Amino acid sequence: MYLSNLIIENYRTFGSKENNNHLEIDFQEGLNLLVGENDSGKSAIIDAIRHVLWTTSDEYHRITEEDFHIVGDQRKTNLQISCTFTDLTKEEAARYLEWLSLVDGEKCLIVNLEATLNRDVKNYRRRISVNYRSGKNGQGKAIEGDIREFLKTTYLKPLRDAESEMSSGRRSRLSQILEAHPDSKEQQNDNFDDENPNDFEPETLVDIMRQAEYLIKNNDYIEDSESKINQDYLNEFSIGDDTISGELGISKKASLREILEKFELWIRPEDDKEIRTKRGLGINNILFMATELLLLSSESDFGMPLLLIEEPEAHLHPPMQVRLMDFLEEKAGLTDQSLQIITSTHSPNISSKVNPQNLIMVGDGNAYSLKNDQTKLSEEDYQFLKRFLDVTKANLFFAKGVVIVEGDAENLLIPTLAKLIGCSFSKNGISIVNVGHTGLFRYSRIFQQCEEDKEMPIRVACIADIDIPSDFFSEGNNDADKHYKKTERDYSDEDRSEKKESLQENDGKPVYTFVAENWTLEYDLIKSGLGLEMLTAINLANDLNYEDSDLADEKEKIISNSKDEYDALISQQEDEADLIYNKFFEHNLSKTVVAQELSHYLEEEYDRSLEDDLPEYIVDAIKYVTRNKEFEDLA
Amino acid sequence: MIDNDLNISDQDIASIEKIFGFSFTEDNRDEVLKSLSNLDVQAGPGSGKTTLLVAKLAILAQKWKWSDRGICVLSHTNVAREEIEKRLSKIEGGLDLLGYPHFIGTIQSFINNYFALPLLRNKGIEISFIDNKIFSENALELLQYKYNARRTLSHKYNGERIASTLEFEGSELDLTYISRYGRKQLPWGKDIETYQELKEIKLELLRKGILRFNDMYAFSEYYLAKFPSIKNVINTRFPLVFIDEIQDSNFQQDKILKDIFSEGSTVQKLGDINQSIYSGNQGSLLEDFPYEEKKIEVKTSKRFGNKIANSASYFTAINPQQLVGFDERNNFKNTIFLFDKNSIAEVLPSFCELVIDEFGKLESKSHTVKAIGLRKSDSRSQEEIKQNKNFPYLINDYFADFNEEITTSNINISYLIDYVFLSRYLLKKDNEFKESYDLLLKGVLRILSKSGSKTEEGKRYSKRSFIRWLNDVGKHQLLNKIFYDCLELSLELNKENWEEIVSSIFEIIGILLTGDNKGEVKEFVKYLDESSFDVSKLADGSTKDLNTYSYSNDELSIQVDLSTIHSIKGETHDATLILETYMHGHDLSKLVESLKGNREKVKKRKEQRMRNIFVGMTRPKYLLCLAMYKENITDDDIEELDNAGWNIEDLIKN
Repeated sequence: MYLSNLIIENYRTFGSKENNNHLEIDFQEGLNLLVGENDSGKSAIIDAIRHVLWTTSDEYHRITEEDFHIVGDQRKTNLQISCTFTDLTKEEAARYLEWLSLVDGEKCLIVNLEATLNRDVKNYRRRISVNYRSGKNGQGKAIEGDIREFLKTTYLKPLRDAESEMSSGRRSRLSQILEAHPDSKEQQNDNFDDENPNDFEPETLVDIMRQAEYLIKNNDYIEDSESKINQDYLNEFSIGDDTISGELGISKKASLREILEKFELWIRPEDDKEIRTKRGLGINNILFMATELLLLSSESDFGMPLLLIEEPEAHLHPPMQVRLMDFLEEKAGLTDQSLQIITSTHSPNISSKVNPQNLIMVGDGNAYSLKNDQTKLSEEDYQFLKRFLDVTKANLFFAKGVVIVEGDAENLLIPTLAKLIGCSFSKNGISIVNVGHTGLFRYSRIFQQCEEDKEMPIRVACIADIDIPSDFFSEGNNDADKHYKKTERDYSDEDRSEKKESLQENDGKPVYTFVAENWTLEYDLIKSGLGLEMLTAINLANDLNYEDSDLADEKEKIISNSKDEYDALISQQEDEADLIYNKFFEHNLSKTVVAQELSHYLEEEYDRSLEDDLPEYIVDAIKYVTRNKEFEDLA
Repeated sequence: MIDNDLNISDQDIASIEKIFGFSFTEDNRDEVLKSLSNLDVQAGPGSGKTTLLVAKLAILAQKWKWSDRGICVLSHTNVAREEIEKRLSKIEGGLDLLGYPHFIGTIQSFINNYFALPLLRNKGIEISFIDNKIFSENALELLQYKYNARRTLSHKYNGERIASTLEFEGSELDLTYISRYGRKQLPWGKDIETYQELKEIKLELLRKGILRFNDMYAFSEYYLAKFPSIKNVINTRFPLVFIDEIQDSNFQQDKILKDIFSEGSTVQKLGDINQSIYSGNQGSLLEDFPYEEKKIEVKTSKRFGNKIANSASYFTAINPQQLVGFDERNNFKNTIFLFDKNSIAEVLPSFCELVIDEFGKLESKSHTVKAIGLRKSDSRSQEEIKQNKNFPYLINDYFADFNEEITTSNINISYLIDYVFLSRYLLKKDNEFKESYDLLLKGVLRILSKSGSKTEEGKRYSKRSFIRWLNDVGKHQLLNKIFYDCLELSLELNKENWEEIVSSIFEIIGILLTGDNKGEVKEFVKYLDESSFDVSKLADGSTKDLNTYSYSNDELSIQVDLSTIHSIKGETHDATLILETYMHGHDLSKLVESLKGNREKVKKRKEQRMRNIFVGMTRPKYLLCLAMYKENITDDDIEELDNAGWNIEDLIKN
């Protein structure tokens, strides 16, 4: 079975069904990775599940007053969390039988929590009552008794103090895990032979302890100490026949639990003779997780096959994070034990590692599954996307907005342009992703949910060239250094708008494709008013030798020469834009290098209002993604 | 105890109106919502009693300030309790009322939980069954060992009945039995051996924890008499008490509830005394409901039009009321069909024709149409039946296939497989496994009971002790798996599957069986085809295909469910036809003056008749029809009925 649906009402940031701001998430079998910015509600989701199911580690986790949702200045007094499990095996269905419901003819286990904030008689204190019931709308049997134990899920909390969790002590986590393991049962057997203690061959842990206890008790030093305590001291306190006497030993009764509580787990030193040393948090965390997973896999026949992990990246360096994700994905993927994992993360390393289908984006009080039946992306697209996503691109899952571009030049230039018109990407939490070429824009559809009216709270702007070369570059013009078969004059107005429309055909909230008006970004920048700046950048890229000893002077010279060159160009008959753009071909320049120079130059030298000199589509894209312009105002 | 903090404002009412989409501001409904003192709400048919109650509970839930004192809501049936719970669970905060410190349940379960069971536990008696049928089975078994009683009873025509209905009564726990006419003292002196032996049977079954439902009332009375301070405790715990459908309370319930809540609790009763048709053998009408000083009346119906409201008003026998209906829903031809012996077969078809004609006006295509009558069973002699005495005598005169068994509300299960069929039926209906599971467990417990299996302490297995045993021997999950198969709706229960299920059950419980009563056990677990299973025979208030009359003409087809008036209490129909039957006289003819719109002073028997017809008349939303035997009324009567607004259709062909 697996947790297929979660509904949260009036809990923390999530509101009510009535106001349509509650949370409903469909989870999938196997791995579910919750991603999203800080405070988006990832932890609230995991906490909510823990409230309903409780955890095997029995840590203190109660609904408090702060958990009740606030509307205006009023705190709600009633919150509800409902978990639905589907796909029960016969074994599981039999176990939960009285608590099951039929939903569309399928057996489901629905577990509801309802908590109420009560005013006490004199309003002295607030009392919170929590009810657990099964069934639709809580109409089934109350959740209590044995079933509680079966529901408990394994939970790994963030920033845990793994070292203390792995150390010995009463009810230590390690002892609980070891005790819960089914194989521990036979270790309870006590075969110790009181008659023949010395020839006894211990088999179980209890045997070993019993024999050790026997040997210790018969150790001369211990015997001697014990009799000294009794005779020299305790005797003095005896009144009448009531003698007080002590017994010295290491365990009162050699129960398995008592033995297990003495256990500790540490990393084995490379050299056996080496003394145990304190290890880093990260290593200890791996150790801890390995132990927890031991219990989970051994328990799959008995307990809830659900693992909750919050921020598994805590304390782990990136390669270890990747290894961990690999491991979890593999665990969750094993069909025979159907382990479901729900984990939250801030780590681009981890997000980029898993199949995007397993991601659930959380934000704006809502959750958006990226499973293929939830987004407008096709199954094959996911395969590519998984390979394509790397750490630098995965940060788009944590952004408020994404700009998708088709080249390095755009990747470099657009953030600078945005900053210069007062819409800084870094301040606005915007990621820019370079997909290399235009065909890949369709992956932006991962941000489009199938369900109507469900709009991800993330703005996506694709920036595309329209790729219609200027007539200057048509075949036969010897002034041009590059020629195109079809140029502007070969395109009718219809052709042009058709071309634009085909680039925008996949658009739909929150994705919008912004298309260059003329040709390419560079060409359009020159056209719109950055001719001089582009020419300067081209010249800098072409002429500046960074190994020159008097770099600053050289640069100064190129800049001032460019001004003269520009003045000369605009007096010529041809469009200066064509002439400037031609220089790319003339000198065989890298657009990336030019973009770098332009970017520098603009940041250092530009002092006019840049917005008026930029192509409209670039300004629109920047404003849209930084929420200064609405989708509806674009078309 | 109830104070200002709970006061319900117009604001509260306005917001609950929004949630319910129901107006509470007319016809005293807001008064009912606001009142926090002792109250008797006399609410007419279709006035939305349950809605009113649920709305009030929903408001109170928001304001309730105690975490250790609650609201007590008492109903008569589990169906009514479930309805209240279901509706509360859909309202924000409503689920709160379903658990501690509140109580929502039947009067019986209230009595059991707070009085009878604690008392019995205190006396060291562990309850195995509170079930009249199981009691009777066991009492008759014990009777075999009581020489005198067996002999004496075998000479009495109702001897078995005496032994199988032995009941305690009152705070002195007097030994009584339930005759056909109600509770009776045993007809022997206390020192007579037969009496002694019957008392031994009762006490032995008491020690085994096998009791009748009514015993619990007697134990409660005993408890209250011996420890009257419990009343103060209960009244403190439940400062506010609601009793729904109060008119269905019997004298015993009424008396004990009055006693329990006499020390400070505010008690609000809701009901329609005019619909009081309780037919239990100890039933007697409540005398002080509605009590004038604390009465609020709700007369407007959200069900039917003014025409029906007006006609029915003349049938408000105990608390005369002028009911008010909608202005719309009035343009339907409320018809009286007149028939004789030759044309009685025309009654149902003619009614259906009329329904089809009239309902052409309505949008909806599926309608609830019922034909109802008072008498379902024949107590005439063979000779009288031949003579067709007192025609029209019972519902079967109109519809020969009508089967009274089918509407009985007793759950009466004789075979294990019927437990399985019923649990599958419930699962399909409710989509929750809880009830079905409990039912299967009951079935298995019946096997243990039949075989006389005992726990280590020598007691009969109860649900609890059985589950404890299952856990001890590690077979709970195994039994659940068998139940899983039973509840796998796609699994066909053929003979082979059934035998496998039974043998796996025996594999688990075999060790508990004594080997006694092997034949009976074998009979109990035998295979029956699913077609033999008729839920209406077992469960209450469900569909009854057998009792359906189907009619179709060229345009439409229509189905009419036939049932007794007693079984349609609380229902809402689109069209209702009341069939005249004979119960100390023909019921409709005897009430012809009221039908004409004349109020007359009525005597007890007539009053009872009026209550029955009143319940029938107030079911339909649109169309009310009557079928009357023409011979009983005069031409003048017919003219006056016509004047009173009835459409008359004479089915007698000249």
